Amino acid sequence: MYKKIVPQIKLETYEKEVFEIDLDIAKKFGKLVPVLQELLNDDKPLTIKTINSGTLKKIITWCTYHKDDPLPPEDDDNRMKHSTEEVSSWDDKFLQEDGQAALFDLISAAHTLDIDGLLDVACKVVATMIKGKAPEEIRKVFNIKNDFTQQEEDQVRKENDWCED
Amino acid sequence: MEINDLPPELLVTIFQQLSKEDLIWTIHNVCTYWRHLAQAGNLWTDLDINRLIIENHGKQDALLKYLLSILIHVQYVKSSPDRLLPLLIKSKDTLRNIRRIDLVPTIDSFYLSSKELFKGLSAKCPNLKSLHLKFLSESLSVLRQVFDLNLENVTLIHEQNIGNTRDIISREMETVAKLLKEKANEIRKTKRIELQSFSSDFLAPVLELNLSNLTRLTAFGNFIKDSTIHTILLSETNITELYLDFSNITDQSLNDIAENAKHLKYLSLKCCSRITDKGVAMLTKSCKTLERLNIRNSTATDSPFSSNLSLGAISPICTSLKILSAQNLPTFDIATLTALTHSCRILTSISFNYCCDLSDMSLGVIGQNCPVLLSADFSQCPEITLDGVRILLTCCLGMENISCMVCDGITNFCEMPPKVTVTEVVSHEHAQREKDRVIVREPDEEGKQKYSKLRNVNLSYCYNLKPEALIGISELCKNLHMLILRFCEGPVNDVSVDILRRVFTNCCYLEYILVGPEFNSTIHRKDIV
Repeated sequence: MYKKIVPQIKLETYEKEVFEIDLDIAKKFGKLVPVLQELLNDDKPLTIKTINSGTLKKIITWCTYHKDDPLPPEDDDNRMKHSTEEVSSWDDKFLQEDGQAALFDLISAAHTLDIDGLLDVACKVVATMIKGKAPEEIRKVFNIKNDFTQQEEDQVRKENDWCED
Repeated sequence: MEINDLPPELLVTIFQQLSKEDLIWTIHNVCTYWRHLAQAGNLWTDLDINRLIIENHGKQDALLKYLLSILIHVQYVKSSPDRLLPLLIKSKDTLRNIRRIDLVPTIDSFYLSSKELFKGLSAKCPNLKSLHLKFLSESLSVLRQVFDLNLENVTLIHEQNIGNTRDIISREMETVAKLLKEKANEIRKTKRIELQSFSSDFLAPVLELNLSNLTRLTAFGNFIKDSTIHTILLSETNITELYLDFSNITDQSLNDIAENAKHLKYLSLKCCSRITDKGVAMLTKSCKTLERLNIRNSTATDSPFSSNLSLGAISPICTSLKILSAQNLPTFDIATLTALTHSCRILTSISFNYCCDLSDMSLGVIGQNCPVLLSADFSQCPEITLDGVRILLTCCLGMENISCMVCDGITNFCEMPPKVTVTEVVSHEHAQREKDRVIVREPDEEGKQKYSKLRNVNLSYCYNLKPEALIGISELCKNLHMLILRFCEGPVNDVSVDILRRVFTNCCYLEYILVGPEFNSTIHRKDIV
C-alpha cells in the first residue's frame, strides 16, 4: 500500500505533548512559517511552552476548517474592509463553546503563532461580549475587580447623571 | 486565563473593535487598568469631533475633558472650526501627531474659520501636512493663513453664499489674487492641491503660480480653462495625478498634458463637455504611463456637461491602462472594444455604465481579452443578460466584484443552461477580417467553479428577478459574503423562508442580504437559520 507523504511539522506544548501538523495547515501561522519550514526535516519538535494541548487542538481544528480561505489582502484599503467583516456563525459557535478562559488562551496562542484570521475573529467575539453593557455588567462578566477610589467613583456617577437628562 | 491576563496589546486589539463611545463611557469606567488602556495611542488615530459632540449631546463637559486627554495621539481630525478652536486653546500639549485636519462645517455651527484658529494650528500642530477647508466668500482672508502653515496637501472648497452681488464678488477676486501672489513662495511648496468652485474664479490664481512641486492636482469647476492648464504644464512636471472633472478645458489642454506630463498615472476627465475623441486619442497615444482613465459622460440628456466621446477615442497603444471608467458612451461597437481590450490586457477594473450598445458579445470579448479583470460594472446596460455575465465569469478567474444594477436583461440568475458555452473571438486581426465572427466552443466544465470566487453580488434594480434565482446564486457562489438586492420589486419580494434558508445554508459566509430601498433593510442569517 502506498502512503501519501505529507510534509509535517512537530510542535510540543506546555504538557510536553507533541503534535504533528500538516504543512498546508501550518501555513496559516504567519511569520512563523519560514521558521517551521526550517524544522521540516528535523525530528526534534519546536517547543512552545505558552500553549497548552487543548488550545493547540482547537487551533488545528480552526486552521483545518479555514484551510481554503482566500489569503488576507495585502494592501491597507482592503485589509480595513476585511476587518469589518462579520464573524461567521460557525466561528462564533466554535470560539464560545469552551467558555471564556479557553477563548483567552486561544487569543493569546493565536497571537504567539501569528494567525491573523483567528486573532481577528476571536477579538471580535470578545468585543461583542463587551458592546452595549454598562461598566458594572462588564466587571461581572469578566470577573474584574473595581479598583477605583471613592472620589473617582463619584466623578463617574456625576458624568452619568448628565446622560440621563 | 482571565481577560486581564492577556498582554495589553491584545486587549487594545479587542478595544479596536469598539466604538469611540464605548471607549469613553464604558471601557474608561471599568477599572484603572482598562482606563489606562482606553487611552492607548492606536485607538485614537482618527477623531470625528462633530459626530461625537452631536451624538453625545448633554454630556459635553465630560466629553471635552476626555477628548483633551487623548488629543495628543490623534493623527487625523474632522471637526467644524468652532469646535476645534476651544480644544486647541485648552490643550497643554504640542499635538505632534496631527497630520491631517478636515474643517467641515455643520448645519448648526458656523462656517467662519477665524484667525485665532489658524494661530492655534500653527502653534500647536507642528506636523500638520494636510488641510481640508470649506469656505464662503466672507472668509476669503483665511486663505492667507492657510498657506502660512507649510502644508503639503491643501483642499479648498468654495461654497457659494446667497446674496452676494457680482460687484462684491469681483472686488473680492482682486483681493484674493493679490494675497495669493504674496503667498506664492509658500503655495509653491504644496505637493497636492484640490480646488473646488462652481460659482466663481476665486481659486484660479492659485494655479498661476508656477507650482513646480505639484504631484496631484484636483480641480473641479469651470474656472479651469486651457490657459490654466497651460500655465501649470509650461515645463515638464512631476504631476502623476490630474482630476479635471466638470472643467472647461478643450483638446488644447490634452495636448499640453500629453507633451509635458510625462509621468501621468491617473487622469479623470469626467463630464468635460468640450473635449473630443481627437484629443483623447492623441493623449492616450503619447501617455505611456497612464494607469487609470475616467471619461464618464453625464447621464442627463440636456446637461451642460455632456460630451460626445466614444470608446474609439482611447488609443490601443495605451497598454499600461489598468482601470477604465466610462459612462453613457453613445456608440459602442464590438470591433473597437475588441481592438481596445486586445491591447489593454492588464485591465483590472472596468465600468461601462449606461452603455446601451453593450451586449453579451461585448462581455465575451472583454472576458477573452482581459484575463486579470477583478471588478466589472455594467449597471444600466439594458442589452446584457446572464449569458454574458456567465461567459465573463468563465474567462476571468479572479473576478471579485460584478455589478449589474438596472439591467433589464437579467431576470433569473439560476437559468444555467445544461452546457456552458464559451464565446471566443480568436484574435483582433482575425475578428476584423471575419467581421466579428464568433466561434462557440464546447462547454468548459470548470466554468461553474469560477463563480465560487465571487464575494459580492449586486443585482439591485433587477425588477424581473425571480425567487428561484436566489437559490441559483447561492449554489454557484459558495464564497458569497454580500448579496445586495435593493429596489428589486416584483417576483423576488415573495421569497419564502424556505428559499432564504437554502440560500444561507449554501453560502456559509453570507450573514445578511440587503433588500429594500434602505440600507438598513436586511435579512439576517440568525433570523432565518
